[in-house]
Formats: sequence, structure tokens, C-alpha cells
Amino acid sequence: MTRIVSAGLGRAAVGVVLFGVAMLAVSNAPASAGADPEALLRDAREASEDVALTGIVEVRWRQGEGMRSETTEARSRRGAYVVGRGEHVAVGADGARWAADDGIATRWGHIEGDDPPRPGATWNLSLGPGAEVAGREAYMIVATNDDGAARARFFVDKDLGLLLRRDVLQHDGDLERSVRFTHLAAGGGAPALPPVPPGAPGPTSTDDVGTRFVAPERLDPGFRLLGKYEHPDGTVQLFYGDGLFSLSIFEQPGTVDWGGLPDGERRGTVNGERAAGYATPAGTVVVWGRDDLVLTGVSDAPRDVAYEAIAAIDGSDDGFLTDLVDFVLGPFGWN
Amino acid sequence: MSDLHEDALSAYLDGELDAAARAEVEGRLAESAEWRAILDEVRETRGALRALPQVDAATEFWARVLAGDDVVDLGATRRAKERRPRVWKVVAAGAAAAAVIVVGVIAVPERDKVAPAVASFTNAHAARSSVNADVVSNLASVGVPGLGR
Repeated sequence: MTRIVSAGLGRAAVGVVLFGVAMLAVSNAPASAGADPEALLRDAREASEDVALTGIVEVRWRQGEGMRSETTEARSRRGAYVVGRGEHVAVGADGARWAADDGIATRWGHIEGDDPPRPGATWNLSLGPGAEVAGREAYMIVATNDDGAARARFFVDKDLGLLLRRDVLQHDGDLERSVRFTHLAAGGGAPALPPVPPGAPGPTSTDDVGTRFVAPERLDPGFRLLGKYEHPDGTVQLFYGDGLFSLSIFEQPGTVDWGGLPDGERRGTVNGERAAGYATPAGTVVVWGRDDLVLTGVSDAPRDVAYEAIAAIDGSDDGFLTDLVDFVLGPFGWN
Repeated sequence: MSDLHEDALSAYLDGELDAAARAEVEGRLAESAEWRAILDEVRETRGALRALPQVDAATEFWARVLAGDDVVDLGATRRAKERRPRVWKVVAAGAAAAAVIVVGVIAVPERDKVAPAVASFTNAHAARSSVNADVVSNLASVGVPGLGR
């Protein structure tokens, strides 16, 4: 039932790993979850903190006319994680995070913020047919909106309770972005944590972001403000969640230096203001400006959902839906 | 179509036009080879200026500016430009020549222009998202090359 990827391991090591898997299966099985999709997703959050694993992860995302795919490594044990390798690596330990990317490091101390809403707070969750991911049996949980359209699929390991795969779907049902294990071995030694550069910058939690920044408590269609952070350079980050997806809005005083943005953007508008959009492995990114503020939205939600929430930061109750249609169907033309 | 002038191309490159004006400029560019040539010319000039080495302004320069001495009224420059829209090439050539001289002495900091660090922001978002959530699926985006690579 449980297939373990163990290429390169000796027979003794395989035995140890199998024993470990068996123990983990006992200790981490989502027995209390049963087949309740919301409980499965809730328990999967905790399983990711508890299960020791070594695996290969594939990230696929829609970029331009096609899908782009990249793979990386993931290791975790006893609350410590290493995802990535070389110059692209994220490390987590004891509630802290460090992300390094081409020499740009971001360090978070113990991250404070409200707990996310329950997984079914905004989305309708149901169990789909069983599936297999990385050779492991999995529950499939489908998230649909109020129109009945499936917008995400989650695959949870039947033995370990671990999230094995997450698919984000376009409105037409086609895949927009996916993160999945292609290989997974439970157990293994504690990951070696790369050294954190001394003095790496880190944001701090704040209750008051000042009057020049905007920080709505809620953003349609269902995001709730979970944390406010100030980065060392003065950038304010607002973090929102809807139970399944998340959204960050970064705010900086000034006007957008359009010539300084990364290549590969698509042009659009947010509430009539010029915007640049990107499809990234992390999800949708939109940069725009308003009232002497430069805003950058980053979200792993389906693109149209992200757009709606990003447009809502302007608080224009009357106009944003019209502009949103233009934004999604007009200038960007990603699909 | 409104009385659109080539001066709008500079504002267009700076991203200063509103949506309607930008659409109008893009429409004109689509139908006019002359406008496209002018746009290329303006872009080339600006690129050449940007390629020049920058030197920080002397401390006393800003002290004098803040004290009200030697103040350059950028608004006046813009107003003059608006009054004499048909001579933009002359103004641009003069400005370019002046800028070559000025840039060699001072570099006026563009204190209000911001280019968001998009890659860092996506990582910061991923790191925050991985707290009280599935760790691997949220951090995986950090572990792969993506934007601009």
C-alpha cells in the first residue's frame, strides 16, 4: 500500500525507513479526520510540521501560452525544513523562516499573526475520487466556488495526512498552477540547515502601519487581514488569508519606476491605473500605483480571485468590477 | 481623438499618463510610423543619458537647495514645455546637452520612484504563507527559479 522511493539506500536503510514509515503512519494518521474534507486539510497543516520526509517537488505554472515546470528538493524533520537547493532555498525552523533567492535573503523571526480562517470558510469542499500521488494513495479534496466551479484540488496522503499535491484551476477548469511531490520518502535524518547570513533583513510585526498606508481588514471575495509587517526598508506587508489561499499586499511610498521592473510583465489596469502583472511559481503578482503609493500584490489564489482581491484594496465599491473585467479579459491576455 | 502631441511620448515612457491618454498614445503609435520613430528617438536619448556615470551631489548642494538658493523649478520647466509643445525636439536636445553636463556634476536622486523587488516580495509572501499552513507547498516557489530567470 505504501510505496517508498528508496533508490540508493541499502537494504538496512530501507528497513529503517520502512519502520519509520510504519511508526509515522501510526502516529500521524488522520484518524480523527475520517473522510471530512475540511478536517483532512486542517490536519494536513499540522502534518507538514510533524512528518519527517525527503522528496522531490515539482512546481508547474501557466506562463504565456504554455506551462512551465521546475523541480526542487524538500526535506523536513522535527519542525525543521529545507526546500530548494543552491541559490534558491527556503529554510524553516522553530517558527522562523529564511528565504534566499539569487543572493537576496529575507529572514523572518518568529512570525506573529492571526490564525488563518478554517479551510471551508470561503470555499465549498468535497471529496473527489481517490488518487495516487508519488506512488502514494491520497484523498482528493475539491474546492468549488458558489457557482459550483472547481477552482482547486488538494491531495492528502491517506497514511501520513500530508498534503502531497495542490492544484489551482482556472475558471475554465484548466490547470493554472500545481505543486506536487513526484517522489517522497518518509523518515530520514534531520536536514542540514544552510547558514543564515548574519544581518539578513527581516520584517517585524506591527499594529500600526501609519496613515499613509491602506490596510483594510477584509478584501472581497473572502480574504481576512491576518498580519501587518514592516520590512527594514520601510515596505509595509499586509498578509491576508481566506482559509485556502493567501494574499500579500506590499506598500511603498512613491510612484512606480516602470523601467525598473523585471522583464516578462503583462500590462493591465487596476481600477483604471496602469499595472504590470506576472505569472510566477508563487502565483500571481500585480504591481500598480495609486495616491503616491506603489502596491505589489502576490497571491497563490486562482488568478481571477487574486485580481478581485487586489482590486478591492482600493476600496472602490462602485467601479472595480467593471475594471476587473477589463483587467482580466483585456490587456493582460495571459490565457 | 483629442489634440494629442508628441510630448505625450515622454510622459508615456515615464508611465505618467492615465489609462485614457495611454490608450490614445498607443493608438497613435499603431497607426503612425512617424510617431514610432519619434518614440524610438526619445527612448534612445533617455537610454544614453541613463548610461552616463552618476555622481552623488555634494552635501552643500542639497543644503543650498533646501535653503531656497539655486532652486530649479521643475514645475516651471514642465509649464514651459506645455506652452511650447511643438518645439519638443529643440527642448529635448537642449535638455540632453545640459543633462550631459549636469549629470557629470550631480545626480538628482529620484527619491519618489520605486521599483518593487518583485522576487523578494514573492519569497516574503511564501515564507509568511508557510506559517500555520502546509510548509512544503508554500515554500516550494522559493526553491525553484522563476521570475526573470
